[in-house]
This record gives sequence, structure tokens and C-alpha cells, in this order.
Amino acid sequence: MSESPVVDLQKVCQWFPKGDGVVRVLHNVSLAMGKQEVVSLVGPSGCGKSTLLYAILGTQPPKSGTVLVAGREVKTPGPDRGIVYQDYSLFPFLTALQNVALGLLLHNTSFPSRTFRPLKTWRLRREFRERAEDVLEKVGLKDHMHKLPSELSGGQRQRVAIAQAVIMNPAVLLLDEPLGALDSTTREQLQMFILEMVDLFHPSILFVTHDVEEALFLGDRVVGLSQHWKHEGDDPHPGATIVYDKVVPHSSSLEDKRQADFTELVEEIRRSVYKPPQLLPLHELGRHIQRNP
Amino acid sequence: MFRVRQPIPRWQVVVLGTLSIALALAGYLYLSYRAYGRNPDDTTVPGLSKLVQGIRGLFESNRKGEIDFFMDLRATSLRFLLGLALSSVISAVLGVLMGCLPAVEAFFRPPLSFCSKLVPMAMLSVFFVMIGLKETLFLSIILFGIVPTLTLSVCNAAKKVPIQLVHKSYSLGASPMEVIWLVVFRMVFPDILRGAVLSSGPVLNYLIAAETIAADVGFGYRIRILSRVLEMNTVFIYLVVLALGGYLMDQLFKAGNRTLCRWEEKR
Repeated sequence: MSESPVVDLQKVCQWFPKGDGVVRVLHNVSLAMGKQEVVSLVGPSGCGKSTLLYAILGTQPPKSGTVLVAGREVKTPGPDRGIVYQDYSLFPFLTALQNVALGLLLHNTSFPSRTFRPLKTWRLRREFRERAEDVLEKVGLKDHMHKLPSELSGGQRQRVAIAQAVIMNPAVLLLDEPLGALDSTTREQLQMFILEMVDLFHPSILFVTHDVEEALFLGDRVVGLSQHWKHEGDDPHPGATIVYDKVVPHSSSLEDKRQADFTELVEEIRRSVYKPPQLLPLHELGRHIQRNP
Repeated sequence: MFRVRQPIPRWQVVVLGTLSIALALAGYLYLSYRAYGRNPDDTTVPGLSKLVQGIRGLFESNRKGEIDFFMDLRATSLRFLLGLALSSVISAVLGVLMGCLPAVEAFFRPPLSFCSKLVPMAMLSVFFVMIGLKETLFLSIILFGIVPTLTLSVCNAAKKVPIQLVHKSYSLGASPMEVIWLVVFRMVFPDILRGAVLSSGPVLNYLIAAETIAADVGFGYRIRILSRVLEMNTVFIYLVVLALGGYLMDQLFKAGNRTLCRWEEKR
């Protein structure tokens, strides 16, 4: 990685108080993501994938370690990090178009200017609406712009949510199991849609999923987070850390991705991340870690 | 017909609804007939002719200036609307702020929880001593009766706004003020409207009770005066107008909900 990383996690640790003690969730997680890289983050349920995502988002800053996005330390959420949730999380009182244009409006105008200088912001609003229309057209929702989220299907809602995030042109787009709530057909359609979005908008994406095949299909690189490793210190449960990090060996064309056979890699990831035959210390897991800084 | 949550045909709904009203009317007419049989001048359970007589009498008294129905209507309506509007606005602002900002909640929840357990009518004597016989007395009773419960309910609704929406708003560049106003307030607006509708009954309750005790104009005052002289045929007209007013408010709120919260109905 020659240029500076878009996302740079340095020894991130996260824990939460529980009763008299603490629950350790993340242990010394270090990860660097390059520009326009699509990183799939996989791991067993409850290993802390979403916690790591929220540390980058800025809603749950780590207890120790540093999170840098585009060279700046993350303390709070901000428009340089877009987020797409599994449950869509669209604003239910806004139409698809208003949902997509909202970010531009919030980011580029202030509350007092919108309230007290409506004429000045009117022109901006029109410009934002046009940009939102353009993005919605690109994501195939031209005919559904003026519908409320409740009037859209699950797949359409997720397209709006992705459009809402990419219009902000964030440094990194965080996708928290975005396809988890969809049926298999819609899921496949959305997988293709995400790859098209990558071609169209070239965002850097951190994609959380529990589906290994999906991780390999969508990601340029798969990172495995797991609590199943042997800590050589006193604490038997130090939290999850990165136990797998490899570049996916396929060409970037959609056709190659469709044809690719990931059987061996799937097995390798399952063995290393989900069901290790025996718990290994981190230094012995090195053979599965190509890119970890 | 008696299967749990099994829909019934429209004609059954109409027949059952009509039957309930017809039975109530028949019961009333029977009581009125019996009272008339005992004493033809009885006005405690007036029959149909006595009610018509009451309406005529009311307009006559209105002309003569003995009973000013429209002044009563105006006084009660103003107190009701002002009380409901003010308590809804205060509860909406305070409830949303409490639901969003834990420090505001920590400050306001204890006194509001305490006040919500007090019976407003029992506080009437306290307000009577503190405020005296002024218009603010009625407003105070309404605010005291409505604001604590409505605020706590708005606060709970605000807390139920999915945290993902708040986080997403921040990631779209919203300031805390914008999150509160543009996201949380709009999300809980249907709850505020519903709360206001549900509160309109208690508001009227407190107001009529307070007017009965401490007013010299208004529906509560007039009902007390008329019932003392057993002019129930006029009292019933006041009661019907009250019920119609309540029904009208209900319909207005429903129309408002349909217009302003279309998104919630479609959810």
C-alpha cells in the first residue's frame, strides 16, 4: 500500500463494563484500508464486527488505540464516513428523493440559514434535489423517487440507503450486514448492485457480513475477526482480533467474480475464523495474515 | 361472530352499533316515562317534549339575558383550546429534549413523575389559594393535570427513535440541534398528536370540574347552577354540546394526523 490508508486502525481495543468487571470485545485490532478498496469483514456472531464498525463510525470510540480516517483521528460520527445498516434506517417521513438529498442539505447549509434565509437555500435545495435525482436514476429508482420508504420493497429501500450514503462521497462507506434482511433472490440482485456501485462511484468500503461466500464475492480482501485464538497473557478472554487477512485472488471484472470458485478459500476462512481445530497464538496465525500492518 | 379478531360483515357492524344506541335511548325513555307517571312536572329525567322545551327555553333565556349559552360556550372553548395547546407545546418541547438529552431528563423526570401521581382536582384548593379566582386558575389545573403525563409519554416515544437514525443523521452532517428538530421531533410528532387527542378528554374533565367549583361563566358553572334547580332538560343540552365538541375535536385531530403524518399511516 504505497499511499496513506483511508482507514487506519492502530491497536484498537474495546471493552464494556458488565457488573463488577468488563467484557472485552476487541483486542489490539490493527487494520489499514487502501483507497477504493473493498474489504469484507467476517467473523462469528458476537465477535465484535459491528463494534469495530461503530468505532470507525465514531459512535463507540475505542477505549484504547487509534482510529484514523483519511488521516484524521475519529472521535465522533461525521460525513466522511457513510453508514448503511441492515434494517435500512431510512427516514420514514421523507420520500426516497428527500432521503438521498438530506445529507447534502445538512452538510452544506446550516440550521439558521435554512430557517431565516429560505430564499438563499432554495437554489441550493434545487441543486441538491437534482443531484439526488441523478444518483437515484443511477441506482435504478427513477420511477420510485417520490415514494416513502414504506412504499418500497426491501431491496429498493437498501438501494436508497446506499444512494443516501454514496452521494456524500465519503472517505469510507461502512456497510453493516446490509443484505442480511433480504431474501436470497433480492440478496443476489443487491450483491450485483453493490459491485456496480463500486464500478460507478469507486468508494472505499468496509463490508460486514456473516456470509463467507458473499465476503469473497464482494470483497477485494477478506478480513476475519475472531475471539477463537490463544492469548498468551493472563486473560483467557481478551476479545476478538484479526486472525485472517488475505487478498481475494480474482480479477475485478463482474464475469470473473461470477465464475470464481471459492470452495477452498471458504474452507480456509471457516477453519481459521469460525471453527479452528485448536486455539493458536497470534504469531502462529501469521500464515493467514497477508496485509495486517 | 365471537371468534377472536375475526372480522364481521359490515351489516353486522351497522346493526350492532344502531342496536346499542337504540337500547340506550329506549332505557332513557322508559325511565323518563316512569318519572312522568310519578310526577308530570318532573324535570330530572326529561322526555323528548321537555328537551325541546329546554332548547326553546335556552334560546329565550339567551335573548332575555338570563342564561348566555354562547358566552358559556366561548369561555369553556377558549379555556379548553388554550389549555390543550399550551400543555401540548410544553410537553412536546420538554419531552423531546428529555428523550434526547439525558441531563435534561435527569433534571426533570423526578418532579414530573411526582406531579403525575398527584390528583389535579385535589390541587384545586392549592391553586385557589395561590392564584385566586382568575382565568389562570383553569389553565394551571389543565397544565398540572396534563403536562407531567404527556411529557413523560413524549419522552418515552423520543427514546424509542432508533439510535441508528440518530447515528446516520450525524454521518450525514447533522448537528445535535438538527438531529433533535429534524429527526427526533418529526419521528415523535404522530405520538405528540395522539397524546394531545388522548389528553383532550382529561382536559375537558379538569376544566368542567374546575368551572363547577370556581367559575362564574362556562359550561361547568352553568351545569351546576341548572342542576341545583333541577332544570335537567337544559343541562342535557349542555352535555350534548360538550359531547359534540369532543367528537369534533377528535375528527379534527384525525384529519390533522392524516395530513401531517401520512408517512405513519402508510407504515
